[in-house]
Amino acid sequence: MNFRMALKHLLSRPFSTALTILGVALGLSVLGSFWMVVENLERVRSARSNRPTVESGLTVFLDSKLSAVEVDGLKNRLSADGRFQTVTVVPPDQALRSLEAQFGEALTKIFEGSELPVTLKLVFNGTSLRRDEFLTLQNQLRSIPGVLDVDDGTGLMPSDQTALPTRILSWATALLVFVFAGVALLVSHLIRLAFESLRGEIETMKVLGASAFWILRPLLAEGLLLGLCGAALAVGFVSFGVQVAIPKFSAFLLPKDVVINMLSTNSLLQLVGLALAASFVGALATWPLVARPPQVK
Amino acid sequence: MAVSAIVELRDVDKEFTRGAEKHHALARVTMRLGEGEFVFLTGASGAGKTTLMRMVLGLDRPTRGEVFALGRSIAGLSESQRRALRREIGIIFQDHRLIASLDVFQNVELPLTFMGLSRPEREKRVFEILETVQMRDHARSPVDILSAGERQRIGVARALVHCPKLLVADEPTGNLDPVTARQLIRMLRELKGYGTTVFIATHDMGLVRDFGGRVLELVGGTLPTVEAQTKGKAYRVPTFWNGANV
Ligand SMILES: Nc1ncnc2c1ncn2[C@@H]1O[C@H](COP(=O)(O)OP(=O)(O)OP(=O)(O)O)[C@@H](O)[C@H]1O
Ligand SMILES: [Mg+2]
Repeated sequence: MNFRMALKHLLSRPFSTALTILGVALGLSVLGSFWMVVENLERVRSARSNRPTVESGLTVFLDSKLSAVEVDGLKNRLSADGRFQTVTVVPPDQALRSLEAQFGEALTKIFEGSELPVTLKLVFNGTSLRRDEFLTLQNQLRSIPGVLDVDDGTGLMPSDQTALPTRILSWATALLVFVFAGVALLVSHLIRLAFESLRGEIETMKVLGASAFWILRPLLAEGLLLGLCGAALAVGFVSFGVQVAIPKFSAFLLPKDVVINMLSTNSLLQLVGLALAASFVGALATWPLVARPPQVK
Repeated sequence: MAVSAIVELRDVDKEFTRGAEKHHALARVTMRLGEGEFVFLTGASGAGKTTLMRMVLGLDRPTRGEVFALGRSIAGLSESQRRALRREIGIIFQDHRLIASLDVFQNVELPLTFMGLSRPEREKRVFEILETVQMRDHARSPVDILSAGERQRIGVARALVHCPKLLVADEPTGNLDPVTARQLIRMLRELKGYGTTVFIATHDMGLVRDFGGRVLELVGGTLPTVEAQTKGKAYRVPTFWNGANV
């Protein structure tokens, strides 16, 4: 079947078409908003849970083969980085003494005699880093020649503070399944209407030898078009909410320092992908109708 | 004449159940159409002509017996193979069954699209066949503004555009005036020269008398025996028809 036939069908039913697109868009908006809240929660939480780590700074272990000049060079290089307030060289004996102060003499006995590395103590200049930025920074430091390892002390933090509660994730999954099914149903309903209104012609084309796939192609295209329009509208709704609605109410709904960010590009693409997949499945539901033998007298 | 069978029915029965009672639409029908034959299928209304043609096109299954078309046994074909078979057959309907959402050109183009021909090749063939049925000027017209005769000519063009080995027409002249009907049959009669087997169902005995060819007459769902089919039933060939040999 011809693609123009499918498009003509959509235009010949403006009301059903608009309603279907609106339904798809609303479903996706609800899912998108929920996901946006999850994303923002995650950001705020990780920013907060990183604060103690950032405040405690980083310890950089250096290769003991480095000369004093090379150590000094590294120190100067890191001091130039705006994110650090101070960079201090800690010689091995001083490090040992601070270990002693922290853990007592029994433990530090183990290190006596062995060659302890020179360390650099980095103190941040107060700005809070996002978790991913913090991890990237550590990796950058590790890749500098002469650096053996970097320690941020996160191992000491309880792990349940860094992961999103699984309950929120299972709610998100349930919502996702629900929206997927809803979009597929809405689209399949309209595609079925298309099939019914073109039925006489489709059955004749079957008699003339049209393959099932050839008949289905434009119906699939029609479904994907609906999904795409719905997704575009949903993105519009959500960004309208972020840019216009939330700022209006955030003054009395949210603490001052909390900023709600728009869904990340990645999540937006996933939302569009979900819409397309669901409408594809919805359109595919007409397969039995196009594959069965022609129903003509 | 030793010709390979284009269509063959062996002992075909077709029963329809209407509520409790059974109705025999076809009973022990055996027949054979060779290559390039021009054959009329006649019989009163309800004799089973449409039922027989649907069987040849794989649109219906016989209750008993075997049906072969273009050398393939219909019973062994899947739905998609049946559609592939029909792509090789030219089909003309009484009510032409043009696709209203498509224009004249696109309607005629359909069989070529199914065959997967390139666009330039399709255009060349469609314009050529539209020329033949004298409808070239209407190529871009919507089909619903055409007269019944014009629509039927488009239907014929669609059935012939892909040079099928077999043409099946169920009452192609049903909605046409006598003059247009004769023009149409004359055109189909000409296909004989191209090796196409033409199988026409009609109850217009006037047409049958004028055009001759082999005639199969269904009476209450039965055909005469094969011997009787090949003996005397042929009608006189009109003298205006050149090169006709029956
Ligand atoms: N689907 C069906 N269910 C029940 N009975 C049917 C069905 N199709 C055909 N019949 C019956 O089979 C018989 C043959 O019908 P068919 O349509 O083949 O006749 P025909 O020769 O084509 O007649 P006409 O010249 O009027 O087109 C008729 O009695 C008809 O009522
Ligand atoms: Mg009939």
